[in-house]
Amino acid sequence: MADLSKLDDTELVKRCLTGDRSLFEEVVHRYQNNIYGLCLRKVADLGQAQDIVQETFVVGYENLARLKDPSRLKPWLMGIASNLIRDYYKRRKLAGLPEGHDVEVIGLDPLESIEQRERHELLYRAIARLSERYKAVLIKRYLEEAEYPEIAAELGLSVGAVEVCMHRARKALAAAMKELTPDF
Amino acid sequence: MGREHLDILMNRVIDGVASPADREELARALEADPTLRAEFDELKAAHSSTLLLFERLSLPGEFTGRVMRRVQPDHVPTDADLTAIIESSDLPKVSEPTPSPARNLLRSQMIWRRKANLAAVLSSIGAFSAAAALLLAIGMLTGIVGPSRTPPPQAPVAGKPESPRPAVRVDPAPQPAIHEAAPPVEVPPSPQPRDISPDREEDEDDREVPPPAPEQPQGEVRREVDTPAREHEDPSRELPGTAPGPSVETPEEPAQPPTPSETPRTTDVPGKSGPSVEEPERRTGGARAEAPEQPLWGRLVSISSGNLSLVDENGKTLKISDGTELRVGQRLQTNVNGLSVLGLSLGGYVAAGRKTTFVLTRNGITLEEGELAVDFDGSRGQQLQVAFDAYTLALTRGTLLLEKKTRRKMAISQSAGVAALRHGENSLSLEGSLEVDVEFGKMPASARARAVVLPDWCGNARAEISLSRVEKLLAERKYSSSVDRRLRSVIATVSKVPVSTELLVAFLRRVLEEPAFSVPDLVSMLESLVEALNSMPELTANTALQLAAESLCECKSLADWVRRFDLVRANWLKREAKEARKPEHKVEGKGDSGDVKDATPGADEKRGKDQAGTQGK
Repeated sequence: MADLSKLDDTELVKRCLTGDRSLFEEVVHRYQNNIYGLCLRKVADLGQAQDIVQETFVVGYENLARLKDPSRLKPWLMGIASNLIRDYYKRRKLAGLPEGHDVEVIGLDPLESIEQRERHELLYRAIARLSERYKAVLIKRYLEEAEYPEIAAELGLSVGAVEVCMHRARKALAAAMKELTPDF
Repeated sequence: MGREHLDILMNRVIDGVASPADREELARALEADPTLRAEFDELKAAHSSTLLLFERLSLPGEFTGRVMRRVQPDHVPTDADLTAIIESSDLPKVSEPTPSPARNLLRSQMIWRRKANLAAVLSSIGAFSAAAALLLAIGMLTGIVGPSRTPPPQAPVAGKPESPRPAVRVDPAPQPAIHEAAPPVEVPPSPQPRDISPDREEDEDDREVPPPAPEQPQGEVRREVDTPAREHEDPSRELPGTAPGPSVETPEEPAQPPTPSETPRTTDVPGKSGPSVEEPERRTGGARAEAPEQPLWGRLVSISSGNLSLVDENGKTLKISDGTELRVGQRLQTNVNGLSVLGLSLGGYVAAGRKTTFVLTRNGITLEEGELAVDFDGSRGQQLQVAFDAYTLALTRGTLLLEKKTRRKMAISQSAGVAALRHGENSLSLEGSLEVDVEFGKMPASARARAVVLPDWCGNARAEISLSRVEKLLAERKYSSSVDRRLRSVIATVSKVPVSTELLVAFLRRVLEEPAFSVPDLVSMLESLVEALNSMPELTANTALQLAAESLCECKSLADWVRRFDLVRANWLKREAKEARKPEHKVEGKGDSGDVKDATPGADEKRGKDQAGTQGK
């Protein structure tokens, strides 16, 4: 596995396609957090977000041969995830459910204490209320554990701008938390 | 100084990427502007909460395995899945420095189970054939004897059907699957699963057998193989690792690819460079053969954020979870958001901050990278040895923080206690509250006496230790989430000053064990304590805590306690003033001669305001 992590996407896809499909595991391992981050930004329901991540990889696995440029594996998978998210909202619309974010936190650890759970739910709701950019910065930093230069590159910003953005995101989060729990 | 610049500074400090200059600059700005301070505190609180939340939100450890099972139903789990499965299963927690045997064991079980399933199916077919043949034989025999269903006593002598052996003679073909050494098609050729390439085995074995549930306990495998003739089972069917003994043949070993645990150890980590005699055991016995373990070092108390991993000599990491036993010689590492608390068998705690790598040694710990906070009570009369570079810090008791600032520099902040820094033959005694900067290769001439306040992460870790020790008592109480937040916050504030964790825990216990006091009362008491520390520069944290505990006697309400605490403090002040007037009781240096304080572990704390106030403000 140590060698696999050094393989670039092109080589990894090539080897997956030439017979060793089990190498797809490395693909999942490599991009699961990025895709999960995207899903969490778009779908606030934790369970749904995790399902979509899983579905993304299943669709990716089945259609790997259709990937024309293997070096673009990550954007391709992100594209699949975006389509699945769109489908999810379409289905919701068809079912007569309201559009927009449905903040469900049913994925949280049931073993947490009630207070902890309550607090996490509030915070999760507060994050869901943040703007798209703030959410992106927060999720990339905290969930994907990306460093500032990496976030800057992905969002097309300078490192300084990401720092400012992160500061504002935290500030907005603190404000949102305060609004939701006055004694925060 | 522009506002945006300040924002960036706050952000950097919160992220832990600020330079010392940045920190100082921000500290000055915060001191000058209380609004900015309040904003900074809010941001820090939001940061800690977000860290915790995302820790909870992260994908489950076995997610990759779950996906792979969907795309490849015959998928054999990899190391990452196995790690997750091991962590979530009832298997013993991994305490070896090299996790591979446990993984190999589990993987072997997965592969073995499939083979066993196949063997069981084929054996069943064989058993059915044998039974059919047996019935046929009985029918024939009864036909020969006559139409009567009860054979005469002499008749069975010719062909008594009770024993299965004659039936075997009638139709011997399926029998070997049950009674004799199984042919290669039914029984795995070797009990060593590491001979088997997972990819190949999946294709061969799993077409008819559904993939096993990974949660299945290891004993299941044998039950599946068991047939009515279990006593005749080939002993080589024993699972490697589950039943040590003759079933595992070492001569077959050379065929196995070397696992990380088998590769020669190159590091000089204490406890890791075990005798080479262990190696064959490791190969043959899987995880169980690693029984000769290193001495117990302690236990992972909790992971507050991020993760903590065991690092093997090849640099492979294995995440560990709360409660895992830690052994001498293990190298551990926290990640970028990591904050973990470890409990020592020697007594005391170690909190590891972010991006910290350290090795557990027989008498303490070796810091390689990052930051460690050590809280050691020394109640068992031993010293805790904290090593870094070519230095050893022997801590008799107290609390200190070690931060590797650069490749060449280390900062030691001791908030209370007694320690000695050694480098070669040189030694520097550290007593009380002080700071030392160590430039590698040189022995610092002296320490700067300074009222040290531990950083937030360290205070939080210490608070967590205290809270975990009164967890049961708190669980028995009902209180709101806002009270919970206040409690955690005030305990974190108290834990940042040089207060002994033991004393704090004792105080918390005493209050919580008293039904007359509620949790909000406890919060109020601790807040009063912080206030007292702010308003009385003479009072050290430990003394204040002792007085607070003393004031609990015969109190039946918070109001009683508040009155008594005020009184006790006033008396203490009077006594101190009186003592100070007596010249023979004056003590030079940082030590304190107060009769109350001499009896406490914090007696040697630096006299004067210990900065509880600055934190409490």
